[in-house]
Amino acid sequence: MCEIGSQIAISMKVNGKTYEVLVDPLSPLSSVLRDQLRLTGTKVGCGKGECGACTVIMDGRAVNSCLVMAGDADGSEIVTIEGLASSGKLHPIQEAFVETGALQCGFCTPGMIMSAKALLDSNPSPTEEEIRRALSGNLCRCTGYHKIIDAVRIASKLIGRNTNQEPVLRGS
Amino acid sequence: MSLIGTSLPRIESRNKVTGRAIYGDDISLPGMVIGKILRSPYAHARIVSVDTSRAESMDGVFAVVTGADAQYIFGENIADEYPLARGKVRYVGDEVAAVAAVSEACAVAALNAIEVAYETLPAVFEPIEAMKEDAPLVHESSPRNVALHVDFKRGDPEAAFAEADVVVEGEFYTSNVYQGYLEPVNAVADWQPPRLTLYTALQSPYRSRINIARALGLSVSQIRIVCPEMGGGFGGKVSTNLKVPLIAALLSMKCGRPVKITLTREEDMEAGRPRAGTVVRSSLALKKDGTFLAKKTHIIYDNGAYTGFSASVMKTMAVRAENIYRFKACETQADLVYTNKTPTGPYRGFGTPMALFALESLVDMASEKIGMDPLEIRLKNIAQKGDVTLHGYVFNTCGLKECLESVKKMRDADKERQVSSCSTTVKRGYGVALCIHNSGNRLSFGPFDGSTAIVRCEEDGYITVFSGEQDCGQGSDSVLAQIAAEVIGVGYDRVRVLTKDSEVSPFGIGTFASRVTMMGGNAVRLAAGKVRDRLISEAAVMLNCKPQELFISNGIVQSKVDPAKHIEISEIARSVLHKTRGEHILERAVFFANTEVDQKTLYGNVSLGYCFGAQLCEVEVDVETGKVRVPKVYAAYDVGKVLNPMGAEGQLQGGIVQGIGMALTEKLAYGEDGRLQNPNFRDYRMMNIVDIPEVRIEFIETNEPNGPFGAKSIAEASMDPTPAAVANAVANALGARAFRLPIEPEHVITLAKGGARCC
Ligand code: FES
Ligand code: FES
Repeated sequence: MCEIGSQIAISMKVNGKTYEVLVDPLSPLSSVLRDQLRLTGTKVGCGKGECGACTVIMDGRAVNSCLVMAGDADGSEIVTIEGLASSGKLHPIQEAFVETGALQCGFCTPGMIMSAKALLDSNPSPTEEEIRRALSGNLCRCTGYHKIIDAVRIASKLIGRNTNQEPVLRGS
Repeated sequence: MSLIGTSLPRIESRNKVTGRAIYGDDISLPGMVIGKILRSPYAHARIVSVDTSRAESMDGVFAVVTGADAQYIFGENIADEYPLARGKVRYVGDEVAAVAAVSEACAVAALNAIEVAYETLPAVFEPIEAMKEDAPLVHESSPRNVALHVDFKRGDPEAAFAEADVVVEGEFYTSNVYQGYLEPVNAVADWQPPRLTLYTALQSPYRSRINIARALGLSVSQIRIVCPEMGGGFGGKVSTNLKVPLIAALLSMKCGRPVKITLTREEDMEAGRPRAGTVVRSSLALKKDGTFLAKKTHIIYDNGAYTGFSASVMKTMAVRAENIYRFKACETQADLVYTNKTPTGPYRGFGTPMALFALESLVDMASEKIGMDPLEIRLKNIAQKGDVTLHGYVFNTCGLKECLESVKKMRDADKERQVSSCSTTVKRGYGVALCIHNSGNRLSFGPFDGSTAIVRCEEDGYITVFSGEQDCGQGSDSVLAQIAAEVIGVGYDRVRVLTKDSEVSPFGIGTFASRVTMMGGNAVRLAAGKVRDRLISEAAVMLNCKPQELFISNGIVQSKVDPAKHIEISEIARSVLHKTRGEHILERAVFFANTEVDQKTLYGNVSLGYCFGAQLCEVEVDVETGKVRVPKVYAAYDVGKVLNPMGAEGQLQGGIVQGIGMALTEKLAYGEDGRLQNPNFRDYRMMNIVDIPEVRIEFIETNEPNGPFGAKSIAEASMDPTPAAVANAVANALGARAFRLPIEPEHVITLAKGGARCC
């Protein structure tokens, strides 16, 4: 027989919308997001907390969603890559990734951007050292990381200018 | 303003940063079920029986397949595998059976219910062992486990060695290395008799289709392959790891529903198609003034359990690298040897990084022996523009000399460089290595090397490009868009490159051999040129002027003579569509390479253009911990005209970082039972953002007459020389040389004890 684990109802706020979902409490949050909410922007590269492709922001912190059990996500507030651009306008981090060429195959990109967002939310002008540390849980096989560091630096500037009400300039 | 030579973001960037790009595992079809594969726990065993009855009767299970359902043999180079093992398993991870079920959990439960009885057989893991007379045979039809032996001579190597003042020699070992693409291999198969649709990201969809048809007993046109976005390939998704789409197809054919299989990372590492471990025994003969004479080489190549594309890789490895020097003679042998390990395949460089590790180490050994600077000895022997090499390569352009001079200049001018002599525990060293790569390789597809493109002008003036060459994440679609935009005279954002779909895309040989810019790019250039000419001739009629006075810029046809005469291309396209009663402006073009190679002697000019590069690495070696750090890499490349500097730089940075991984940490380690010991990203160490060096890059621009706008290739060359340069730098730091990659800490400590060089 094929055992179906007992399901529980959880409620979470994802990208500003509240969802009630029936989940297997032990299944990973990444599966709930991808398979049940069909938010497939969150990628799974290893399922074991070793690559960061599945990074989302949960209650303000960057987490590997493949390691969070669905049951533990009950009552939480989650931001995924789909929640960054608002009314068709890219978030400055997204814009910086595009302009600097910080992505190639793009499979690590959603996770990278979410880790960068968690960093810049708490530390708007990080040093290169701090950028490297904050992204050290995210693997990228394509870029060699150089342009990702550039992108986060530029995003930090763009966000700074934004909060100072100055117009956002492209790249630099 | 010309688009050529400007940094442009890739065309699909927006989808990728918003999470909207669709990769294979994101696809879900109505009624779709999940497939899982049962793998061999033994390296070598006879399959006595497979009992699937319990699994088949489980609720939620839709299909179970075994070797009995997989009756057709296939293989890219040599037909030596079945979609599922029949009779024997040949490595830990070999596919034995598969199930399709409502959920992953259910599929796993069903796999556990399959009973397989094995009778284990003696196994062999090292190719040198495998070649012995009494070694167990992986495939009964290949005596001494040799799947292919290659043997050739050029010039008179005996005479050259007799003439030599100095001979240096070595035996160089490399390990199996994983491509490490972040997206595990996956496929969705949908059998709607008599047609099979496969959603799977293959670097070479059309070639794969030939093999898939053979392996399933179907005819090619029964199969449609749609390529979703590819989360990295680096050669690992060329066409050899077809097991996943094939097994998904068998399951779908059995249960009549779409089936998705996504490998776990462990499976992808255990049963992917990694770079082969190799042994290179080589000697180099030279005069005491540093002039190279000849080279003798014997390559022993770990094929693993099945061949896939490895015969082509080995042949290329036997030839390509040494064309950077002016040798007078050579004698080369290579053996492709079956072992009871993961089948190997192409990975960025197609054998070149291993060949260069041996060659460039020998060159440094020679320079030490005759007391000549490593850069000097290279300058003395490198190939130059106009050369026809020992292997028949023709160099229309060759910036090797400039590359070498450039890395030296970059290093010498680097003000931030640490020049302090080493501490007692940390030694500093520098190492250089050169490289060559083709832009398309005549060796890799028998019948021809070419590409076809179709370019269509939509009635709103947007341009659609149809090409059969898949973007594997490196940005080739963007290069094709850039070329089309430049040729026609429209904005880059007006061009769309269609997803590869065998239903509509023209035939393409595929994305490998660094061939897409040269082959696909030229085809697009020609087709786009025809579209431009058509637009202009139609405009001439509409504007009542001569075509010669017209040009297109920013999507508007304008007259050089009378500025009042202009018309938007959208208007022309609409008018043509109406006038012809529904025919778009649509042009196609074929570009082919008049290259050649003798498949036996491997002699011939395999490519229309060769790119070159030099890398100079700095290392810091801690002699107590054995840790090696690479703080800096200077890289200079001749890739012809640089079409998109940002894209080219990104390729180089990524390739160099992969190359350092191969040099220092990356190795698929197999236990005594043949089981992979490190099938995860924790134990298999790829470079992390905290490890990366500063990379300084300079492009030496040449104008390749065969290339689109003078361009050659870059993707693979970026990684080719890095392991060799790092190894040379470590030898320079320690005064003792490593003959094995990766250079692991224990080995560094031993070397440091033996060698006693201080600076
Ligand atoms: S998928 Fe979650 S860390 Fe890799
Ligand atoms: S862009 Fe491919 S893994 Fe980062």
